[in-house]
Amino acid sequence: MEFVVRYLLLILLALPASALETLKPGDKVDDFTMLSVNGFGQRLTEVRGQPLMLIWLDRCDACSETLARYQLLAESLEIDGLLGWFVWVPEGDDEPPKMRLPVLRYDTKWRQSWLFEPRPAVMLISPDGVLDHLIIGDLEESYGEVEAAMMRWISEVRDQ
Amino acid sequence: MSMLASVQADELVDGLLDIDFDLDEIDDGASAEERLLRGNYYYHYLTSDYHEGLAALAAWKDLRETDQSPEQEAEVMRAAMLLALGLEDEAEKAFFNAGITTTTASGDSWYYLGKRWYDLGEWERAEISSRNALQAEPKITQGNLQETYSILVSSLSLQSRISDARVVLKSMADESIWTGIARYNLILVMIRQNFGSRDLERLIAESIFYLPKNKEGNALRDRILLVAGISAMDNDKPAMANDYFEKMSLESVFSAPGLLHYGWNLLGQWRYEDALQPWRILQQQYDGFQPAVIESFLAVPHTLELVEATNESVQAYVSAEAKIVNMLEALDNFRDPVQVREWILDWQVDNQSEGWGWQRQRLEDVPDTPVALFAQGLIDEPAFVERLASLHDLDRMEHDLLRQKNDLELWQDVLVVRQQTLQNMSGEERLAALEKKHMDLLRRTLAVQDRLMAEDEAVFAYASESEHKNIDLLRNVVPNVSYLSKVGTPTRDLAPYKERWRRMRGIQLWNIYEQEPQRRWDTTRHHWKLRAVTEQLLVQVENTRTSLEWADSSWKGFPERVSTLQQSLNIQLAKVKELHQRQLDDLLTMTDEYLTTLRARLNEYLAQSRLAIARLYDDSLQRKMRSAGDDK
Amino acid sequence: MKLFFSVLFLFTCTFANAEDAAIRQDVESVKQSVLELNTDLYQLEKDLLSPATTRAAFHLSLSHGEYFEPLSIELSVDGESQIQHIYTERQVKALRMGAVQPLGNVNLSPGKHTVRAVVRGVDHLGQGRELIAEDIVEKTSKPLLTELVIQDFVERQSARVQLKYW
Repeated sequence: MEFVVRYLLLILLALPASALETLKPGDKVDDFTMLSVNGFGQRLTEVRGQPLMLIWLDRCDACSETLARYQLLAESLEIDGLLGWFVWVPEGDDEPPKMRLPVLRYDTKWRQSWLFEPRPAVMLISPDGVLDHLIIGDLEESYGEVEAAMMRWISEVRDQ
Repeated sequence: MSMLASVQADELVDGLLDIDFDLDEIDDGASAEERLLRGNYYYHYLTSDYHEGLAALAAWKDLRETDQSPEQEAEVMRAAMLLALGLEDEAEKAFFNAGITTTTASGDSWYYLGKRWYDLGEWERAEISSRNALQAEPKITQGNLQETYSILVSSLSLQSRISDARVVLKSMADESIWTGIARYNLILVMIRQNFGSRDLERLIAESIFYLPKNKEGNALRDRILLVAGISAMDNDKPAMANDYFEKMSLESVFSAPGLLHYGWNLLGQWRYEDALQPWRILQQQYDGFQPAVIESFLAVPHTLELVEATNESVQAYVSAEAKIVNMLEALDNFRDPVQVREWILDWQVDNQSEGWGWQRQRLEDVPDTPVALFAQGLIDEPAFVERLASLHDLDRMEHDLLRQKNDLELWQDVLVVRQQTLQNMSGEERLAALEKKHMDLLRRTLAVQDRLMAEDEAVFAYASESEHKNIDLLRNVVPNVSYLSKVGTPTRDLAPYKERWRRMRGIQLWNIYEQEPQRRWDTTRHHWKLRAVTEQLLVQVENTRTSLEWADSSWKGFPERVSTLQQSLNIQLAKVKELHQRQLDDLLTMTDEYLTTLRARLNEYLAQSRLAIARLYDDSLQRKMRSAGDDK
Repeated sequence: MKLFFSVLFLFTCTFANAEDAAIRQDVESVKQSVLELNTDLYQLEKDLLSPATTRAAFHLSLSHGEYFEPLSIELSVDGESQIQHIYTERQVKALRMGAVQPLGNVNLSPGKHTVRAVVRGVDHLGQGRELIAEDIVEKTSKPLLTELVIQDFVERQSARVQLKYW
């Protein structure tokens, strides 16, 4: 399996080693439950059996436009069972993005949640809950890379 | 987003059990406990948490003091969970012996059961279960409907009930992959029974036409075309066979055998040159260890021999011989129990992130090692894959049991610590101190209460100390004044003294009476406060006493329970270990048998090629001798 | 000359042998025993974590749920946060079918305790709503059973949450 990690970017961001050690492609993604701003809460282990694109947002105040392409990508692959979730971290008076896909709200208060660093980041999580691809960096800039990785990945997932 | 609407819509689809209860009817403790346990069981079942579901069912049964499921619905759920956990024997008992019917078990439960029977090759049971799945209430989930029809058609076909199968087939959605699978199974049975060729041809054409255009659909299309082609060859319809083989793709696992048979079919029509084409493609595109490719190594020189290209034929046989010798050497190198064992154990390590039974999502492919190269045909074998899955389950069970064993050891330590902490806390002394404090307070409260009662009876109630002194002084003045009046000294007018005395007395009394309510209130309040503190302390004493009694319950009896469970855990662990070894041995034997068969086949090919070479040399020698004789 | 026709894999060949059948049966039986053992271990762990004498078991149920659907719950005892839960669609569906959610067990000392539950969710119009139940429960030496019941309040087209205990 091919893993796409932008090591260079990771080095430039000079992150604490723990972020890299805690989650890397090939690892099982820990379970979480988060409230959603537009529907029921979502729990990771409940969507076992389906591929998931999990997008961890950076600071976002009503940033729906930036995410529209990602939403379309996820919806176009719905037929292959793909799910798409955004994780939004409220700051100040920020408004959440208005999306059709679930927008999860991270809040430290809930003990069953955790937050991935660095953000923004796109995770492609396999139906058995393993992190297959991790693409870190500005969402606008990395869209092309995500789309390319997604197309290869979803056909692998579909054939399994 | 209208969540309410979506939930209600889904509910219609998924509606498993609609239990309604009236809270006001059921409010005594015992029935509440049962209702809660029952509700918990349903909750775990409906949220697919089978582990906790079984634990809740056990607790519910304990409460009822029964070994049976308390309700039939509960039994249906238990059976469905057992099925999901891969415990078919238990599930079978539940479904077929407990009288579960289409009205008590949901469509989905029957669907899972039907699927299981089908996998086990129990066609009749698969038929009954899938028919029930289609009739049961609550109805089967839409997503499982076509698969259920497919199981029904296939199980009817496999019981040779072709016309019944065709009737059910008509109610299926043409474009579903499941319809394709049902048609394929029917085609196979019809071929075996030499069924009327028109019907068969029509069914083949239909199934190829409707299959979806995706990887799964394409693979099934190739599979149907291959079977149809071989069947046409067997029935002396080479043109039709050509037609089927030509339609096959080059991208599925059926492509290699397709190319091989296509070549043989062309050869059978004396189209020697054409026959070489598919075999060349086969040798270029596929791995040398594919059985079809190995066979084509000999098929090519055989064809060359038929067109009397003797030299080319000899060369091709020689090269085939060399290839086969190399393959045999390589095979003997890798047909080593240690390597095969490592190959299987490496696969096991690769799949450690998966749970066992129902928790298992996806098992990885076997590692790409030289052993895998030889065992290609074995890896595609469902029986092999199933045993690998069983090995994985046993490995994971062993792992889980070891973790639980470790947990129990940790709990053992915790229990010792709990007991020691409780002993070091000297609870009894603390309780005695508290009891003494309570008694002191109680005494003080009673003293205040006595005073309250005494004051109520006194003339100058609630007078302060100085007021009592003043009154005493005034009282003492009275005899003095009386004495003075008796002495009767004319110079002293006693009237003003008497007046002052009366006034003083009046003021004093007034003060006392005026302050009495406030003082009475203050004292009463003080009394109440004391009483409240005393009562609180009493509750505290009682609670401490209970806590001390309870504290023991945090360790008493547990060491015994832990050690009993440790014993049964060790027994299970030993069983699982033994089974794991047996399953591994079984897989090793299976692999070895496969490789031995492959070796025998390669040896046969080698013998055939050597024989052919010898014969060709012999023929040419004979020819030479004959022509030399002719020359003479 | 006769060559092999390798069509073996077309018709699923069963490698069934006596050993395989025996292993299969043994695996099933060991799975059954392991599951039973799991249930016992689960019960033991529950008892160890909260012995019956100090245990207060909290549950939540939804009656009808036409006017309210829970999204989250926070439960505190004597001002201390004890239980948190975020609901998923599947869990709410289970509640609507009459299932009772085991929220969790809390260890309580004997005597009176104030229980406060805040259930946040949406009403039938999709508006955010907060239901609160606050009550005093008394813990005796018997396990305390409590149930938060979310019930429709049809007259007011709303819902309320009640704390029941035994």
